[in-house]
Amino acid sequence: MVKLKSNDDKEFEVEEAAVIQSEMIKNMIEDGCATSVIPLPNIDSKTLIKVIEYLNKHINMGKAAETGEEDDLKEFDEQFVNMGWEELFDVIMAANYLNIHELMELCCQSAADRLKNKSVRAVREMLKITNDLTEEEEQEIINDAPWAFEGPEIDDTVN
Amino acid sequence: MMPPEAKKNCCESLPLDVLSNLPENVIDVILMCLPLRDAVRTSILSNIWRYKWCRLPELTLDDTFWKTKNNLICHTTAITKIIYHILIFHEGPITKFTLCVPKSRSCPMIDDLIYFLAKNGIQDFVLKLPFKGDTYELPPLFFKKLQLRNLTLQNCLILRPPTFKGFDRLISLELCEVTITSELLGSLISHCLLLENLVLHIADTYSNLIEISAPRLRSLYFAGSVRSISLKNVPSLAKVLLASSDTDYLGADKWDVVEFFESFEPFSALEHLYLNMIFAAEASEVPKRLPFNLNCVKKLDICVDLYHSVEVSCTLCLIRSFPYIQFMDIQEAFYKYDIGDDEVEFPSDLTFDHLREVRLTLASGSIIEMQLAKLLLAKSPMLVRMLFASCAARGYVAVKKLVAELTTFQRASPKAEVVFIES
Repeated sequence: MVKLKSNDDKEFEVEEAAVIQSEMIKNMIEDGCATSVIPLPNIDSKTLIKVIEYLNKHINMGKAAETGEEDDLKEFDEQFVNMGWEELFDVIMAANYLNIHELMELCCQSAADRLKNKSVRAVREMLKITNDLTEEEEQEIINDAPWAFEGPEIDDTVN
Repeated sequence: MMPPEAKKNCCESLPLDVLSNLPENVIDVILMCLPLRDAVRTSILSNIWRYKWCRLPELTLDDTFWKTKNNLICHTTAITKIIYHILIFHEGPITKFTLCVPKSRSCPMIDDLIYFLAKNGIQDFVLKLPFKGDTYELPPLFFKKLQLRNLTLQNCLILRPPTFKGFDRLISLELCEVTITSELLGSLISHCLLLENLVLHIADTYSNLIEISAPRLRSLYFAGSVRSISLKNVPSLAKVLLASSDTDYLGADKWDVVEFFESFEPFSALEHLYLNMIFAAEASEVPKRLPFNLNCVKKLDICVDLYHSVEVSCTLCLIRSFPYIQFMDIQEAFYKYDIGDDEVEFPSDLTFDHLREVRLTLASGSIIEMQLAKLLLAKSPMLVRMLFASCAARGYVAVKKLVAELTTFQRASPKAEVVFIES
């Protein structure tokens, strides 16, 4: 068992087989730096709980194909990313920090799926981006790459 | 680049602007998950987004990329303009580039593109050209300058550059309808010493065999005539998928199943084999078993015409020679319905001592199908699960009925589950 401590001082015990999906922690264990509690100053307990839930579920991912649990795992992943933007970015930041490649891919793909085919206005609103471009600059950008702005049906809704 | 005033506004909105505040590497990953068109469109979100897409190391211009609201971009000039725009704005290394050119007549700037990619550290390159028009010949530079790890080519021409020795870093190679001689193809493969994955789609039947010699090859997918290939030195080959092509129906030479598998014999790393038994339909004499066992084979997927005696005997020959099969997938090749009451006597010496799971995709619930299912149930002591599916709407009810009848049948493995999968 490996002990992790969130930045709000909560400790979590995780099986080594699960936690080594994090390259960072795997390296720490290999270097003998994981003997006591591993503090994670960038991750709060709410996010860490999510990450541990993912790690535990994906513990034997390599064997999933053989045991026919792939569909189950896929369903879990779909449910897992069903969260708000802020929570999603918290998990992405945690996955980036802990270097959990699969989790990073999953969450970034989910972020991308939410942005795909969205209109510029919809993306700005979803992510609360303030537009600081002048009209001339906007026109210049469109003129540079008109093809990028005439894509398939552009969706103007924010969900 | 950013006027001070704008910068200030931008900073004030930061607590809300979640995405823009992520580290650059994270933003890159998200942008790379987006289609390129959407990624480029982020340039108009705000000042800080303007050039973010320009440093993406992976660019994909695939078939969907060229679709606009109402049509498909397919004029050579339009395609060229877009590619130039991307190349002019791009900064930094490009490790992966995918270009699938839609049905345009020609695409004159590919030499320039290859030059550009060579300078920017390309490792993974996919170039799929349209079937129509003149076949594009890869420039000599392609063979000289590129340090590729993964390469996919479709519809182009490869001629031997005089000094070319092969891609010494290449791990994965996929050639689809590429014009190349069998000798050059064989030589290309044998000079890529790190090659692990090979995919070949070849419509023509070569008069000379393509010799496949690749010491580290793990996986081979071949769509074409099996009579065109000869496996020479493949000690690591674990997965082989042989899909059929039309030419196999017409082959004059008979396929020799023993000869084909001979190269595996001394090494036998083969674990997973997919075969379309249509190859064997014209096989010369089929022995009862191969002269050697391939003990590593765990998974056998076959597509077979159960009413074709040569195909069936060839299937049995392989099954006997793979004594450690754990997973088997048998699919009926043709949907026959009016087959009367044909029966086949499956030999009684067959056993499936290690078979754990089998999937049968059947057409009509006929007597032969029933016999096959009973044989598998009776001779597989380790069986955990037997799945049935119907490959044709017409046979659906009959196959389901067959499965229902089987539930009372005596099994070698009493706990084996028999399941019909509704599709």
